[in-house]
Amino acid sequence: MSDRRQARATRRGAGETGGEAAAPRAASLGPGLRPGLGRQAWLLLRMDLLSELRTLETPLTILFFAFLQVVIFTFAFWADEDTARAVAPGVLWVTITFAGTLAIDRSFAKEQDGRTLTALRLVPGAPRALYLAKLLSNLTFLLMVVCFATPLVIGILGVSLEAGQLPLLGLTLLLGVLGFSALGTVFSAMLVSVRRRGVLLPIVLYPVAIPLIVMGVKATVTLLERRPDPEVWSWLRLMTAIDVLYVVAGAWLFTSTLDDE
Amino acid sequence: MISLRAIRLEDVSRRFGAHLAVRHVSLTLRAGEVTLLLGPNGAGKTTLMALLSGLLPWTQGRITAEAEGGGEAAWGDVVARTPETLGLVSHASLLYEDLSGRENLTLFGGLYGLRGAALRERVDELLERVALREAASRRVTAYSRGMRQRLSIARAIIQRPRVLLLDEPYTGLDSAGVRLLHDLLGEERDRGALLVLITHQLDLPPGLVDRAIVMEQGRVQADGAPGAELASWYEARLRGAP
Amino acid sequence: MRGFRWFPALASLTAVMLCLSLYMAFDYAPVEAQMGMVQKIFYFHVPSAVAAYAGFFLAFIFSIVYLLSPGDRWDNLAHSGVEVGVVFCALVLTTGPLWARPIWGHYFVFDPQLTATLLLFLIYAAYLLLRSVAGDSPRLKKIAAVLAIFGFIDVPIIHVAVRKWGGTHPIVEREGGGGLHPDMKIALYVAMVTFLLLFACLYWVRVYLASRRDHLRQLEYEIEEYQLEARDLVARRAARSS
Repeated sequence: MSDRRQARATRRGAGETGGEAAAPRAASLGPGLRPGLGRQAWLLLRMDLLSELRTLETPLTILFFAFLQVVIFTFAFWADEDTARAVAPGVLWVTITFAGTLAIDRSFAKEQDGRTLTALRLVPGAPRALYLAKLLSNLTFLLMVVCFATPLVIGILGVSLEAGQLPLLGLTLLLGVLGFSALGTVFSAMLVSVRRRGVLLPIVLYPVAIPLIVMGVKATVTLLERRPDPEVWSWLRLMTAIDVLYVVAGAWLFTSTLDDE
Repeated sequence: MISLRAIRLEDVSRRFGAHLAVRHVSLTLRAGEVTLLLGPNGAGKTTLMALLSGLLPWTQGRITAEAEGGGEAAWGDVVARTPETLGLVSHASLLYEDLSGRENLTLFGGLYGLRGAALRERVDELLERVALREAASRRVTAYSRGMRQRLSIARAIIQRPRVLLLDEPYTGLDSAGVRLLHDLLGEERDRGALLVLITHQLDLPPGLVDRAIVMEQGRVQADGAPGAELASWYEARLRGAP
Repeated sequence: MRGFRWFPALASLTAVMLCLSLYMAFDYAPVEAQMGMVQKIFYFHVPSAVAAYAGFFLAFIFSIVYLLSPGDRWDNLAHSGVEVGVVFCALVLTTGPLWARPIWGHYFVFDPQLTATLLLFLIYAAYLLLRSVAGDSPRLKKIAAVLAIFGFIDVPIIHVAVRKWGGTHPIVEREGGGGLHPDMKIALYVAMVTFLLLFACLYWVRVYLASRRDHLRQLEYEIEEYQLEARDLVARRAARSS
């Protein structure tokens, strides 16, 4: 019980920036300047991408996995050109989701190696910045998959696409992977130190993500069937609303789940 | 500059499921002192340190920070509000393995709010201090255990913390590294920081440690000035323990 | 902790209401002109859905409370909500196809309501799977809480989405809109109240069970602690006398 009271007290303390004069003040401490959220997030994101760039572990694995999936789906679903075209949106989204899960699963591996989450929790403001940084880095990897898989699927399954449709298709995919990254960032952060993380991530992530993914598929279908733009937009508006909801809820849930080993 | 005078623990306990790792500990740790925390494995030293770091909530008791002027505040509040109060060297390196030594320090310095020339200066100063100047641009993966440890220590003090917690900081250090660590600890203490040191090393240089606390089964068994007497008592206890 | 005294009263009331709603459904409400007797399942199907939502809503609320102030009581309340909710959700998913088969000719059709319920069932089944597979640490409880929160955020999303995916089947009628005979409506309301009471019973038992289990664990800890203290005391006395 006293544990709970103390936890609450701690959180209250975190909420205030001022506090009573009796408390030792931060201002007189150390370097003094308190960095903004943006700068902290940028530092963490740069670090993340930099060390990824060195090993190329995540990009190579996810792109290869995406390629494999497209091949398997093509073998599995190819009956004739019409069926191929009909399943293309589904194939594209499932490929992105699965390959994205691989990236999301790896997204806190760097923090786990050196237990740096512990160190980051001792930096004021860092947890929130970390959420933003990891969200953006996951988004980067997912967009990599998107850029790789989309032409592949279009090419192999023979989808006819006009250049004019590209921006809208891009927007659809972006909205889909944004919400998915937000969900994935929260869940993978929480599962960092849990056993059987690899199994549990898809189990908790997919049921929640299904509506967004299916909307993405529907929007893509609507787009490829050359229905009028407003019809596509009605899907995109919904997806935007979901993205906002997921990103904002994710920010709160991320920091509130990070503070316990 | 430092306004923290002491951290006071009153009847503090921490339970993990059925196991009471820290039981009813009452202590006052003072700034400007190096407190040595001794005890056999599983005595609760690391748990006590985790409680002090604010990363682990305690299940019973109170921890209070006393300010220089005489004011008080709950330690949990202080840590939550100003986490940079704390420097931590733990079992894990708390470093990014795929980054170089310099990049690690730059990242953490930057997160703590240093930027530009000040950041570069501080990083250079620390790299020099822990003798990693030459290895600064190598990745941490390529570091030896001792180099990693020295970098960990540098990372822990980059923001000039008021409280420095060190859990077995000797791991992997050679004799030069140990000397370096001792010098650093002395400097931090003279700066007015509150230091807590967990170690099994007993041949510490005279004058480094101001106070020694022995823990056993989650309890404080002895507390006093370090000296030959304490050391021999402690060793006898260790040997005598089943 | 104690609060089980009024449970028999609630349980008896529920039993009476169950009988009443059986009578209402089969005797009081008229037989539907087109569907015939099969339509009677309506009085169990819809109320089950309401009870399932009640469970998920409680889980949502208590998960938020748990994240704000972690305490096992809130976790129990949330976990119980999901568990009982999933039971009712499973009822919806079994009565749905039983109803659908004779009317629409298929056990499962992509009817908006049915799809929505299935998706919800998946989310909360994942919650239960997570809880049973991954242990009982505070960390896992937090993950579960986050899942319950995101799950409930998904509820309106799913409902909007499945409607857009295009259902061809009558939603209005089943939501108790204008198409219902007044007697049918009354029977439906009675059934809803009954199922909510049934839900309350099950929820109560489940929460009580969980709180008893926690209490038992607490007692075990205390016993162990007394044992340790006693052993300590004996050892100290022995040391003094020798």
